Amino acid sequence: MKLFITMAILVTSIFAGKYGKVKITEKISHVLVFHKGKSINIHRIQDVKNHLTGAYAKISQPCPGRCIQPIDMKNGVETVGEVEVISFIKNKVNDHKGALIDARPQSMYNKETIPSAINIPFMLGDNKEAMSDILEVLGMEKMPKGKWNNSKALEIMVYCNGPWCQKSSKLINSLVKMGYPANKIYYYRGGFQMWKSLGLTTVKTK
Amino acid sequence: MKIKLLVVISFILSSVAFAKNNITEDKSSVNIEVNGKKYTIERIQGNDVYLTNEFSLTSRPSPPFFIQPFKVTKDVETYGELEVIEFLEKGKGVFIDARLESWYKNSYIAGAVNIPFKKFLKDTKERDKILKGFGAVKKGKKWDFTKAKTILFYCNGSWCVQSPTAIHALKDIGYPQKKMKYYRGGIQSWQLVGLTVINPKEEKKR
Amino acid sequence: MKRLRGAFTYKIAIAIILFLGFVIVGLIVVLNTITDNYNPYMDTQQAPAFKEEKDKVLTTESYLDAIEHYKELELDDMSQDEAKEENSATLISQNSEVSKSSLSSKIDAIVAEAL
Repeated sequence: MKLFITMAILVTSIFAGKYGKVKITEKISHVLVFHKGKSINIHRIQDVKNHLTGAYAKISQPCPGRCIQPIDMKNGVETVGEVEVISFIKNKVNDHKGALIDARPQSMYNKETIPSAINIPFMLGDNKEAMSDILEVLGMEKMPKGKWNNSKALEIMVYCNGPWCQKSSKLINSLVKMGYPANKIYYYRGGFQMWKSLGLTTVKTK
Repeated sequence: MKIKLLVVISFILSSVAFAKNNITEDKSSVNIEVNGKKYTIERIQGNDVYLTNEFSLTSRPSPPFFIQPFKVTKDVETYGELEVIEFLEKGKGVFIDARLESWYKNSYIAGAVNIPFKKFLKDTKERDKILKGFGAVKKGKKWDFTKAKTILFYCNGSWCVQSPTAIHALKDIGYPQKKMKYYRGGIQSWQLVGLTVINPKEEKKR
Repeated sequence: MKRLRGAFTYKIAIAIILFLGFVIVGLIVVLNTITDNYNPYMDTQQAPAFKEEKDKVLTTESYLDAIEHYKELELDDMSQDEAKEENSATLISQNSEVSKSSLSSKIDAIVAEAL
């Protein structure tokens, strides 16, 4: 009987896990992802007294410049939240069937970003040559007369600093303008500020 | 040439000096009236204001405070801050704070009325009264929602399940999903973008 | 006689161990199926009796208790100086070995050339 009880406790404690106090969703407490070849576990900070501090706790933002963005881009691009981003990383990015894109400048991306994200600074949107190369890497096929075959285009999720940041929507608009299918683009409007406000793991590149 | 340069520089300097933190490029503040009370919604001014209250906490225990999916149900629209402001400006329906009374008494979003989510869960006289107040008509044990108002719910933040619970309960008794809206970001996101929040205790002190 | 008894006890011990093993495997399967089917929005559904105490908060009734309890936790300690970021940012080197054919390497190369 004692043996039975100890085995039962052992089994349930395996389920509880290291990140079980503050889980992401009911079913997900952590996700293993890859960032520049290194494996990282995305989880939430387990300290219930932890606060958001630093630049992303700032609530005074200038507008013009950092105006609040609408929830819907109204161009066929779907807006998503953290749960969808994490499921996307788990099911698509890890299998090279999707890409999570940080649209902020390189210095910000290196300073701190979401694990598994690649960096396409939004300013490149005006550089047709670079954008053309990027589209090809993302699965678009060049056709004659400047057209594109988008049948194999990867699904992409794009984010920037937060709900007051326009960089991601600018990059998305550049991609759509060049012919990237809107139904394969997702807009993570909450961005890095909301990611951090939920205590989710971030990565710094030295 | 020098004069032109001077004019340009002084223009830039003056625009910086008088720079305001607007809501959008063309909206600096919004005046609304709800149940006879008047409110002004605007963004926090200045450039060094940080969130430090309980809404800067990142890791509430989950269960039960899991991160919520972006969409609460298939046909209930998720709103952001701009959509909430438009809803209030145009008087599109009832703006409901679905949290328990003690949370509302601490602080609430300007223009919201408090109807704790518990009141929507069971078939009680109180729920009947609330739904009739929304314009619903009870026929026997069933409801006719053809003349019911649109209701917009919010609660604490993207980790709060109180408003989703209310929405699910109403969906189960037939409230049209297209007449329900979900401000997923809640009072936490509202504060993170610097928008106006009412603190009843401080108001009483005045 | 003694030999026979010894052999018999040995067989019973193995049988008991095998039986316990099957019970544990069965428990794992059952626990998995129940967590998959659980719907926290159905307030009529009760959490299975053998689940851990903390999992009961998934029912609507116990969720309400959880909110009340959570408010009692100390929320007064708001000092920013004491806030600590517990392993939220993992540090990696830019020179981490990555396959040149990987998506991120290709994009990095294009971005580096363009900027």
